[in-house]
Amino acid sequence: MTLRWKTVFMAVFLACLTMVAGRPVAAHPHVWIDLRTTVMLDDAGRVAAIGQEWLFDPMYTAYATVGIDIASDSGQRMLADLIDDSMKNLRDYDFFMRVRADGARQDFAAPRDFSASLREGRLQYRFTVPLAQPVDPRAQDLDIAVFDPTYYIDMVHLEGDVVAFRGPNPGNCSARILAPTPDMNAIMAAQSADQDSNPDDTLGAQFAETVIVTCK
Amino acid sequence: MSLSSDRLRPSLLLPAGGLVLLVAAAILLALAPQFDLAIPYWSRVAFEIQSIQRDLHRALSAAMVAVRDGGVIAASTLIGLSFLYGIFHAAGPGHGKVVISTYLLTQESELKRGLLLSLVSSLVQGLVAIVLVEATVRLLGLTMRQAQGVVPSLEAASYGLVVLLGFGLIAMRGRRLLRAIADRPQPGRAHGDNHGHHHAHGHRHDHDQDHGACGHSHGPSREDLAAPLGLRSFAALVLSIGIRPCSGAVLVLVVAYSMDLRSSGMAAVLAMSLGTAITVGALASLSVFARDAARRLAARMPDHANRLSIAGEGVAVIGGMVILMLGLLLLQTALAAPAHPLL
Repeated sequence: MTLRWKTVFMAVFLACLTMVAGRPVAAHPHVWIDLRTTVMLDDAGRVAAIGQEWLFDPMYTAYATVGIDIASDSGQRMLADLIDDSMKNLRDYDFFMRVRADGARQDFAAPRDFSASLREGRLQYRFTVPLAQPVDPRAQDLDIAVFDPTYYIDMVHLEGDVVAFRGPNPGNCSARILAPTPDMNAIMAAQSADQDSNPDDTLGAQFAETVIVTCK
Repeated sequence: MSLSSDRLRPSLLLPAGGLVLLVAAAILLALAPQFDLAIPYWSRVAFEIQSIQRDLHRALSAAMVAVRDGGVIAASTLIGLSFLYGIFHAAGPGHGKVVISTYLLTQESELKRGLLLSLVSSLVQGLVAIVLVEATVRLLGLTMRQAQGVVPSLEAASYGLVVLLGFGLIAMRGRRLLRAIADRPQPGRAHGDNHGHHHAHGHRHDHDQDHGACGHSHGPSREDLAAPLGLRSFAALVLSIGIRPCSGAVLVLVVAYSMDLRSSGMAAVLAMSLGTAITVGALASLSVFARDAARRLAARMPDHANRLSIAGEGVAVIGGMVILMLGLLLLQTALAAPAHPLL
């Protein structure tokens, strides 16, 4: 009686294949946001606030707004409620933003100028979040990342998008958007992430772009 | 070829080893998210799939808008894309596939039933999404975001059913295991066909080569190794997988609804379910083949039918435990999971 290695191998191989093939299916992300970032400078040339424009995908738009009649007053009220609610909820998540000065994570103050609207059939959030302490980008290395920590939402700037600067001398500053470099573990984790039942709040950072700000 | 149980022991190692490997794979399958199982090649494949998903998602969104303007051609595009989305995103939640493959690896050897299970659970999942959206938007007049509390409840119900399924399997297969142990032949006694009434001995023709190779074989047949997929197990499996609606399906329905295209949306979701069924069915087939390979290996060993059925039932009990553990883990995380700030 000889051991049928081929059969054993087949069984193990198929089991492994099953294991892998079973994973990439109910994967993150589930919502897509096209980002635009504006860096607000104060009179001293310091970065004082970050402006965000989030354009949600049509699916999420429908999810959040189906049944809202934008043209009506009540529809506008519902949109206002929507952004109020979101700002309140996002406060605990730093508005999905990570601003670092020389690697140290910065705190935020209360958001301002927030509004929700529909643009070309897509839900758009606009808001500005002041930094608790302005950061001088000439003295410190400043980088900005916008991401959902659990990677339920994929948040990226559109390809070719540029970061805008607003303030007294915006021409002194420039920004580069670095593409994310997720490692293989992160990709596997995202592929196996199962909706919102088992959130891994370290995952999103792996898929986040990094905006590097430099000023003269 | 009658052998005493003493002389049988070495040969038993082989089938038992194969089955243990399968069980280990099943456990790994269930626990994989807990460990960092990075397999570079498959990571790359997975990354590719992720890119495909993103592209498909954007295409799907565009198709939703086009349907409004484009009529029948656009509607069929939407349905076709949903079908692809179902295949790649396999619309169903991950836990469903883990439950199905663990179940099939450890309990069930019949490909037809594995495929039926995949199909029905995928369709139920689509139907649950349709009922949920119709009830929320049409009957209650809420946006899905306002009704989002419903989904965690369905999720918890779904995981609760996984727990029940695990319990049920342990109880059922555990009883059979004890019976198989009680039927164990005494040392020195020739052991022939006296393996207990649950051995149907319905040898299929695909065993003929085994007969030829080993003189004779009392390896358990498919029927022996396969738990009869009773109505209760079937319903528990289908509901534990399908009762939790896929967000992709819900979103297609909601978008369709917001464009007054309810019937196109429903057709698209059913197409998505079919796509899902194909992916889950492929996975189910792999599980069944893997199990079949182990069974063939085991069937080559002579005069061990009773021990094999003990091993088979043991594996089935362990499979039930895996499913039970998975259900408890999922239930616990689902109940503890914080709500996403934008959902």
